[in-house]
Amino acid sequence: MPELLRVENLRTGFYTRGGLLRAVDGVDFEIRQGATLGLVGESGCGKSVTALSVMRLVDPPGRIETGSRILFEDRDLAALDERELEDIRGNEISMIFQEPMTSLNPVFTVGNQIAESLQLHEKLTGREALVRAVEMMQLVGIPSAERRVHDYPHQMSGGMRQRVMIAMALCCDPKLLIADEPTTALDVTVQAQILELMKELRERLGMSILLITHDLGVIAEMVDDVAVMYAGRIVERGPVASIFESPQHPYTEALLRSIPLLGMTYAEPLRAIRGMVPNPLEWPAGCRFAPRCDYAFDRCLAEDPPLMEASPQESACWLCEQGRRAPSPAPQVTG
Amino acid sequence: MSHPLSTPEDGVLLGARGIKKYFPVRRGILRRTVGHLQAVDGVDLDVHRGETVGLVGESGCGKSTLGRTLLRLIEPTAGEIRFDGVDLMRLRGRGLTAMRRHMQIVFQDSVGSLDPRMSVRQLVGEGLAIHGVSDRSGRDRLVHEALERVGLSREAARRYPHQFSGGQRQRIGLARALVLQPKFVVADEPVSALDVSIQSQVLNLLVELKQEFDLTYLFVAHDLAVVGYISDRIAVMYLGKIVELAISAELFRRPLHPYTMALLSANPEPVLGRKQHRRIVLTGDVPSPIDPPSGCRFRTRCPLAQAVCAEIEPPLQDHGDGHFAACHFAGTPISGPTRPHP
Repeated sequence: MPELLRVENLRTGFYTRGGLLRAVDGVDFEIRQGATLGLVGESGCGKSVTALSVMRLVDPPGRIETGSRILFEDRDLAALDERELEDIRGNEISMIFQEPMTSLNPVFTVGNQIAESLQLHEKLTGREALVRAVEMMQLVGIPSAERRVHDYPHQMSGGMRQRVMIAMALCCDPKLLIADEPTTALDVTVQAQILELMKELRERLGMSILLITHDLGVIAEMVDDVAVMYAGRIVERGPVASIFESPQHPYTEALLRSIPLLGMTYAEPLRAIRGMVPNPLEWPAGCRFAPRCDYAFDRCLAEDPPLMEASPQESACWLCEQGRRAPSPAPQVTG
Repeated sequence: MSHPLSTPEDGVLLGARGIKKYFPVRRGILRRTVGHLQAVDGVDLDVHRGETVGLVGESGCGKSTLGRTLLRLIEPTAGEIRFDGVDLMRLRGRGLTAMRRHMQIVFQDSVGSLDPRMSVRQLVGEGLAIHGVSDRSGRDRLVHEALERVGLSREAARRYPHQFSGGQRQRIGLARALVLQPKFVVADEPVSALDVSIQSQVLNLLVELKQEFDLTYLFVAHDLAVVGYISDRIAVMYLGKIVELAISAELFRRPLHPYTMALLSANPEPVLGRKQHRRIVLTGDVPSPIDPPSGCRFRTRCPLAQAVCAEIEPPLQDHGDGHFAACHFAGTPISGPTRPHP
């Protein structure tokens, strides 16, 4: 499948009083047409800033550094001006956020808000746009859409609001949907509904998705490819199956093993990752995970490993210099 | 579970019967009560000495309210609570304060629950001072010991909450609860706000502390895998009621209530190809606890619902080996409109 988006050496920094905070510090990835890429990592790893950078929604004191390239089809989004970006945002690339309540305007009906982007991008009249809004609401499974199109956001439940956000994001038939923690604020049964909906719509509309989440369960269920972020970098990327079966980067491995699975009990201690995420104002020299890594050796503290081929993955770990590292035993799961 | 309240000899540390908590809903300028939000509506629960009971359910099911009501941090509207052989509902003033030493709580929100103007020494030592434990230097020594036990240095005592990360603040909350050497700790979503790598550190710590200090936990959380990991028994709540209660492994192996089945199947697991079953996707949202459905409260979303479910509320019944479920069709497999799971 041809590429839709290619991000090269993306660096986004925040010029704070405490110094330069390098939130995203040299990130490369690509998304194929119709595929879903999952960007996974813990808070502060730079995954949301990466998404905002792709949309060019980083506000000062944040800045996308020169040399960053965001190639969408044949255009470099990093080089476009605001006018050109407005044609792309909400039209060719749309975004949904974690908390639909804060992203929806409380003083307009949901129908008006869905219609707004249709009027803007598709040049529909108010009446036509409202009819399309109802259709979009039906598409995302909102019952009695003709009536609820006149609802205000506060009259809807969290799950319904997220459906409205999805309807808004999809109404101009985008090529790429960026979903930043779309189900994190939702209860697990409602999360299941939204994930099923996203899968169904992806199949029907054939769009690509960049899914940002901290939840490896959501990743396992939704994506084709994974990029694991740690401390502003991608430390491992590759097809979802091989990432889960045999993670090549020690961070990915540690993350997968630290999570309690259904059926595990306290009789066996969890394999926690020791220590804490480093301070983004002063990333450690060498490999940024080395201070917490069980496999670290001298070189890791001194030299920063680039992404290296560990087919079918790529891993930024010196252990993968000669390709895949020796397999380590899978965690024991009972039940 | 409608048997009378047990005595301490049964090994029950905390026994609760018929717990209800209704919050009045007020409207208009006169703030007239127009209805009641039935946060907890008739819960019976025994927590045995040394065990961890997990309380799981989605937001608004009443699990946090129940946890707080059992400590009388929120006054129940009705019900009996017996703690360590004492009728908790009869205690007033000093008697209740004295009892609180044995019953502590750890909150999810470590920012909101730690006063930013108090040093860690004051925060952790506050309970000791209230209960008149030792003198000042004795209390400082206990604070240092508690901090070290939860994995912080004694230098932490001089600092303030904002100087710590989320995981460290949760450790401060734990030290604050533990320094009083309680018998019973309610842990209300203690790891939900933490990153996965920190979450497992805190879970391990909770398990170690429980063994070391002979603690009994009520662990309130929405994450099934986390609750299952730490709990001996699990109670599943839906709209103010316990719908299923069983030993953790049994609950996962043989869920009897359709809501538990749906919860289990909705839980996204970070494992590929492990789920062989079909996913049950519930339709609709949780109804309002101000005006809950008649009969079984789950019936509006239940794939098994029949006419009887609207008329008769199913009691929480023993289905053998202490596995309780409140469903007219408990144990019936769900085969309705489900989607195959890859």
